[in-house]
Amino acid sequence: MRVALLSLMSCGSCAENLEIVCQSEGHELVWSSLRDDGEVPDVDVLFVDGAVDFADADARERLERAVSSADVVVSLGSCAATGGFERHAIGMREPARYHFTVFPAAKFADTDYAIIGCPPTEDAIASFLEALEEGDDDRLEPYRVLSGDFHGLDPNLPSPVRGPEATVEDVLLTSNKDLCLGCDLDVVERELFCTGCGACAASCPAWAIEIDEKPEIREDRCIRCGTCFATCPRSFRA
Amino acid sequence: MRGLLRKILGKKDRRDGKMKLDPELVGEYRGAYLARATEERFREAGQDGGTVTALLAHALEEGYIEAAVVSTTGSDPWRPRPTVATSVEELLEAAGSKYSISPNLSALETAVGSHDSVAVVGTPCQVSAVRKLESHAYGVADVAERVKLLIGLFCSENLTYKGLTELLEKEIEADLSSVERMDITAGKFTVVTSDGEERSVSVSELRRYANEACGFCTDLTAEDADVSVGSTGAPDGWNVVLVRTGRGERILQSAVDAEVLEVRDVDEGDPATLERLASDKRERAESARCAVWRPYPTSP
Repeated sequence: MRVALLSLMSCGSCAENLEIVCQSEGHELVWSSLRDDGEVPDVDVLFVDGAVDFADADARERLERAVSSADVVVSLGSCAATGGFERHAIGMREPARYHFTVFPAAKFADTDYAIIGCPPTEDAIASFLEALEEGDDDRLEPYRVLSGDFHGLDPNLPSPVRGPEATVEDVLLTSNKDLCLGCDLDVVERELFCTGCGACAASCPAWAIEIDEKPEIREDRCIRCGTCFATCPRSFRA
Repeated sequence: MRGLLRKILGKKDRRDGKMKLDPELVGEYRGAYLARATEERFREAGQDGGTVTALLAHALEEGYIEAAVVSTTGSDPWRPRPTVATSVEELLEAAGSKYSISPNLSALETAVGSHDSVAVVGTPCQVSAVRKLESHAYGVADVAERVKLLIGLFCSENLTYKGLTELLEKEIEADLSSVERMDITAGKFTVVTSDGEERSVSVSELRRYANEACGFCTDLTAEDADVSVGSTGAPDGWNVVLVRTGRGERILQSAVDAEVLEVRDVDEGDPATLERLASDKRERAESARCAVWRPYPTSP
């Protein structure tokens, strides 16, 4: 596939993983804002990585222009999708719950899919590109749902909580989130849905989850990337 | 009674066919057997037939895996904690069931990070979580590539450590530290204390002390596993083994060929009981869902 990358305020790990995947899986990274100037050429998919300071008009305009020229836009990594490191640990300060000027890129642009992770593993990026290439809507569904606007979450969703085998459309029913996907400092509702499997602790990139029976999130380390929630076997079915 | 009804009501046709257990109830499988370890040390250390421990030891010795994610016992009596076992000695130390939550997958990242081939042993929910990590690798790399064997344990529900302590105090009237052996077989939770006394309580009593989240689970037999192992439906000292995938089949075959495991036909046990309990668990989940019905929680 022909791939482009717009890298905004980020550490660069997502971009690096994308490049590795493109090389190993035979996709062509035709344009990357890290090395190319000018406009985004005609590509199959545009990845947006990183966060945007909303006081930075230049960055917002670049994002807007790039997104308007692409058919498929994907937020790559948690900084672009949910908040993540750039929003919650700016300048290596202690993470603050709200950093008022920095938002995930997906907040300023309509994205079709989101790949959660800090950074998303090469496996996740490769399997997403494979599903996109094959047009496999079933496999793409989680990426589509996770790109939804969780900040403007409607608390009056019509469906009731029915159980942990929620389909991915009902993904939010197992949680009560407003800041990002997996936050509220609980992976999923502890008493009702958590089986204590430990997958969240294994997936946490910030070593913020300690688990004895049920996960305990250390607020001072959590970057609200949502990886734990997306990984939880009870947030939605694989 | 239910078993009798089942026999009368048309289940007979299926029994004549190839499948000995109903895949609708126990999940898809390629083969169902009774198995136990041939070596005494595995049977003694293990819960029933020592099948899981012997199978893992065989896989380690044959170089099929380098490490296994299992749960061992920590400093508190009967309190499990996940560990990565790399030798037969460590496997033997971790052998046997502990009836409390062990977040095994929290050790998975360390395991796949430092070993090329890993086996994971877990409850049905943990097995499903590994499958999800394989297809949605948001945070843990190389799970699909490096997890070579996924062993699921039959599980009716799991207890929190607090729940287990309370259960022993109230229903069994025993102290955790004096317990020599715990076992769930044929619908009974049995405890043997150090003075040799055996006390038991029906599994339905466990519900009150169990992890609430288990009430939703429909999976008794770890339907996503490569190999599922449990004691339900097996005679004393034996395990029921359900082989579900090609790689599960290969490793089991290799263990049988090497005479690490001895297998028998599953019909020599009690497959009807296994089917009944599997079906009960599905029905129970339905009622749990009704009990907690509530509207979507409003934002604070």
